[in-house]
Order: sequence, then structure tokens, then C-alpha cells
Amino acid sequence: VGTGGVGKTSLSAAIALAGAGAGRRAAVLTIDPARALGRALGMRALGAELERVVSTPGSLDVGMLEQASAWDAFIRRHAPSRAVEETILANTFYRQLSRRFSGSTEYVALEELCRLHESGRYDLIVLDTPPAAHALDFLRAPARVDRFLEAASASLSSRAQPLVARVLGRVERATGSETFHELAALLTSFQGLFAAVRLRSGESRALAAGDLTAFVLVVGPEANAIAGARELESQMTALGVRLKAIVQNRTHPLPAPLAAASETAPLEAELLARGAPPANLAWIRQAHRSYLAIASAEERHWQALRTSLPANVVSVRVPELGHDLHSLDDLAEVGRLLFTE
Amino acid sequence: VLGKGGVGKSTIAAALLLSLQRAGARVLGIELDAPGGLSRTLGVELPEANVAVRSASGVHLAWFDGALALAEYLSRKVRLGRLATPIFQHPLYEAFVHAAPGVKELMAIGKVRDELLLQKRWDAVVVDAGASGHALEYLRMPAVAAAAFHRGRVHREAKQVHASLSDANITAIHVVTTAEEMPVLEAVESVQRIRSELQLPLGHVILNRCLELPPDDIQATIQSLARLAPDAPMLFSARRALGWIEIQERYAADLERDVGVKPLRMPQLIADELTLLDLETLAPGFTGSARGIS
Repeated sequence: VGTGGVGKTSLSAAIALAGAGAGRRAAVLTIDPARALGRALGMRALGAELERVVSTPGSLDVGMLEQASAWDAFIRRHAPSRAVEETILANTFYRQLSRRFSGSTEYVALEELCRLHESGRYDLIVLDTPPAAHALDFLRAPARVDRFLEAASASLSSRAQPLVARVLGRVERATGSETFHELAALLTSFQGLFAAVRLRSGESRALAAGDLTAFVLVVGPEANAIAGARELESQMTALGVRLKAIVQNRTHPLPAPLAAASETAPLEAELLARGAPPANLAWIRQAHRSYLAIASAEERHWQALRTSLPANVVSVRVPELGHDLHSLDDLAEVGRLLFTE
Repeated sequence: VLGKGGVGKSTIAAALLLSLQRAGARVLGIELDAPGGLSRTLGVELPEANVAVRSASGVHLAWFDGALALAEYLSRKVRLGRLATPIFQHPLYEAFVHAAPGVKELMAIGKVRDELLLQKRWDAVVVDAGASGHALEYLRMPAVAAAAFHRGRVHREAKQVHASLSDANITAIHVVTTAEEMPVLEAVESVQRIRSELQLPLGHVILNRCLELPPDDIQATIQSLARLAPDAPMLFSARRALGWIEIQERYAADLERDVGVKPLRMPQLIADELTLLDLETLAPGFTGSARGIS
């Protein structure tokens, strides 16, 4: 889990690849991956079907989660009959809802995790969560889908129906919307699915909170990313899930102790004496100062974070490689940096 | 202002607000759905939706909640009486808000338009519209809603909002990116959609967090430094910076080629936490540049 732009997808792939390197049967399920990552994994296009990219010593399968098709597959699996399945899939309201309801991606991601786990084909499954403003959204979002399904189910009771119809009628006249006819049709065909869906959602929630699951929070090197991490950890504990590790990604290692690194005047004087253009020296000095400012700020935030976290949360820093990830070797390198510290 | 997560949209939106304000405009910064990066950057707490709060810098900020705006709208237009509260708290209503084509987005964008054109309180509003996909949904919805609701109030409202969005004298959509693979791909896709699918006025394509380019003959100096002190930390930093700049320029060139306009470059700010002063160093980058900003 982590906010957008911190490198979740690459780290997920690196973790799964490291698992395969250690002899495990690993899978990584990613959402909207960088094209470079697909290339690095040796794939032309990532699809919904898992594809094997490494087969020795362990194995690594990679798949992409696409919200709309994952929901459609979910309906196909749980629909009591072919007719119901087709009515639901063709419903306009369903099509809008499955693609746009917030929490919907997270819901099917958990379902996919559950399915891969139950297949028994994997020792390690890494799930790259959807981009979110808040890392906890992944855990909170599915509850909204549950609330909706509960309400939908309740509104079908004979006692509630006249009221629901009256209110819907009024809102329709006011807005000019015909959406509610579709909603009513959807609810009716969904009736046979409620029990299955409710059961499933209980199972996936139990898996996410269970001992087999570990959450890894990825943060960027910036100050505000770090500031939220401590709070997040306690919120996760409150939700009953376990934060196993925090990874500060793409950090800037200091080349030498800060005091020594900051002392550049003698070297500059020497270069000037040898005829280096002052503008070039000024650029180098500025680049160096910027780098030290970033590196030392990062170091401070990291130390502050580390001391504030419970001892059982593993904390790891992964320095940035200085280039994009282009190959399996690059991902393996990230894996080594991740697991050697 | 839109762009991929993590590219610094809020920083750019804040700098834009400050530069407009410095030019004498009365400005309002708006966040959609929830208070976020923009209010954090300018150090303002926004406890309540739809209420403008003045920041220390003098810029006003607010966050607009489409679902709440819809509830307000419905309460005004439909006499629901005592039913109002149970309806608006009902999960089915929440589902409707999410699934009815664009109603929530339409309401939020409609509110932005009202603030600017009807309230006469502001000379300019800057919307921190969030991640590209989400922001494009907001921009797309007035047209979609106008088509989906063939008649009635929503249809008329949607048409008006779309007309304001399409007017280049009123609206400019700025696309922010950094010089990295995914942000550039997303920016290019956004620009293409804004131009061809949405047909809305594009403002600037902003390349954020640019490192300063070195003098042309920098390699000679780097080489003498390497001979003189191969382990110098300064050499390490300079080489890293050169490596990043090479990547930066490659993606900057891709971006320029694929969007067909010269991106507006904004420097990387080196600071622990951004201060007003830092943001003001970005502000001059906007002034005097193309229409819609100055």
C-alpha cells in the first residue's frame, strides 16, 4: 500500500521476483503498470490472465487487474444462472457502477487475492494496490460496496418497496434521469447473488486481516510521506491488520558523512587554479548542495520515523538506481537492496 | 490543474494562485472531493465543505463536495420535506450519486462555475483537479450529462456548465508532469483527450521539478575533478545530477514531440517543507506567459 507515485508497482514486482529467486512459487498482481515494467518483465502486454515470466529456481507469474473485467468475471462466477448473468452484465446501471463506484477496484482486488490463494498454486502472492490518496483506502473501500449491497438487498423487502419507488419517482422527475428503472432492474436480478457475495466478502476480509497476510507500506523520500506513516500504523492496528514493513523508496544515499561532504572550497580552488570555468564550478557546487540538502533531510525524517515505530515493524530504505527499471536484472537489484539491509 | 499522482500538482496550483494574486487578482483555490495537497501546501485547514477560508498568504481556499452540492440542489428543487435526511444518508442514494452518469461531477464543476461567474467575488479560480483520469472525468461529465439527460433541469444546467468549460476566455486546463516515463505518458494522453475527445481549451503543459541544465563544456570540468579527487562527494553528486538530467531531457523531448507545444519548465524546489517563499520562486514562471494565466 502507499500513495500514488511512490513506486509500489516496481517494489511489488521486485518482492515477487525475490520470492521466485528463493525458490517460491510467486505471483504478482498489478494495477495499471508502467510500460517499462511490463518490458522489464519481458512481456509485450500485461493481461488479466497470469503469465509466467520466470520459471527457475521458483516461478513468477504476473497479471494485471482490470477493474471492469474483474467485476464481470466475478458476476460470471457467482451468478446462479446464465440468464441472470447476462441481464446483469447488460444493465447500464451495473456498467456504470462496476467501473466507477469508489471502492470497487479494491473490492475485486481482494476477491482476486482470495481466488489466487485458494487455487493453492502459489506460496507468495504480492498484490499491488490501486493508487489512492490515502494508503488505508484499500482497507476501507470494500466496506462501501458491502454497505451498498446491504442497502440494495434491504430495499427489495416488500415493506420498503413502496417508499423507495415513491422517492425514486420524485428524484427522476426532478433530474430528468431514467437511471432508476435500471437500478430497480439490477436489484431484482442481483437478488440471487447477495448471499454468495456477502459470504465472499467475509472470506476476503478474513484473509486480509489474517496471519498469512502482511502489509508493506511504501513511502517516498519526502517529509510529508513520512509524517503520515506513524499515524497510518496505528490506524491499521485499529483495523486489525498487521503492518509488517515500511519501505522508504528511491532514497538518496549520502556519499560521505555530511560534514566532510559539505567541505568543497579547497577542491574548487584547486580546480579554478587549473583553469576550470567558474560557471562550471558554480553548477557543480549547486548540484552538490541540492543533493546534500535532499539526502540529509531524508535521513532526518527517516530517523524520526524509525524511532516512532513499534519494534516489530521492519523498516528498509531502497536507494534509487539512477535510471529507470529496464530489465529483470534491475528488478532483481531492487530486490537485493530490499532484502539485504 | 491536473496530472499524475505525485508530480506536484498542488505545488503548481499554489504557485499559480500566488502569482495571480500578486498581479492583483482576487483568487480562490478549489479542491474537489476532499481537502488535500493544495490546502496543506498553503497551510490552511478546511473543516467544512463549500466554505472559503483565507490563508496566511491572502489566497482563499475551499473544497467542493459534489455529493453535498447535489443534496443541496435536490433539496432546493424537489420538495422532500422530512424525507430529505433519510434519503441523503441512504446507501442507495450514495450508489446513485456514484453511478448516475456524472451527476456528482457535474454538481462540483457547476459550483466552480457559479463561484467564478455568478458570485462576482473572484477574478480567478484555480482548481486542483487531482489525478488525470479522475480530473478528466470531471471535465467530461457536463457534456455526458447534457446528452444522457435529454431534457429537464439537469440537461439545461449541464449545457451551461459545458459552454463555460469550452470557452477559452474563461477556462484553461493546465497539465502537469515530471520528466519520468509514466507521468509523461499520462500527460500526453491527457493532452490528446483534452484536444480531441473533450475539445476543451488546453492551457500550459508544465514540466515540473526540472534540474538546472549544466554549461555545455561541463564534462571537461568533471574529468579534471575525477583526476584530482576520484572519491570526492562533489563528484558523486555532480555525476548523479548529470545522469538524472540525461533522463530528464529524454522525457522532456518525448513530451514536447508528443504534445506539439513547448512545455513550461518549473525548477525543482529543494526544501524540507515548502514555504511560501519557495512557492514564490515558482510564481514568476507563470507571469508574462501565454493566455489564461497572466
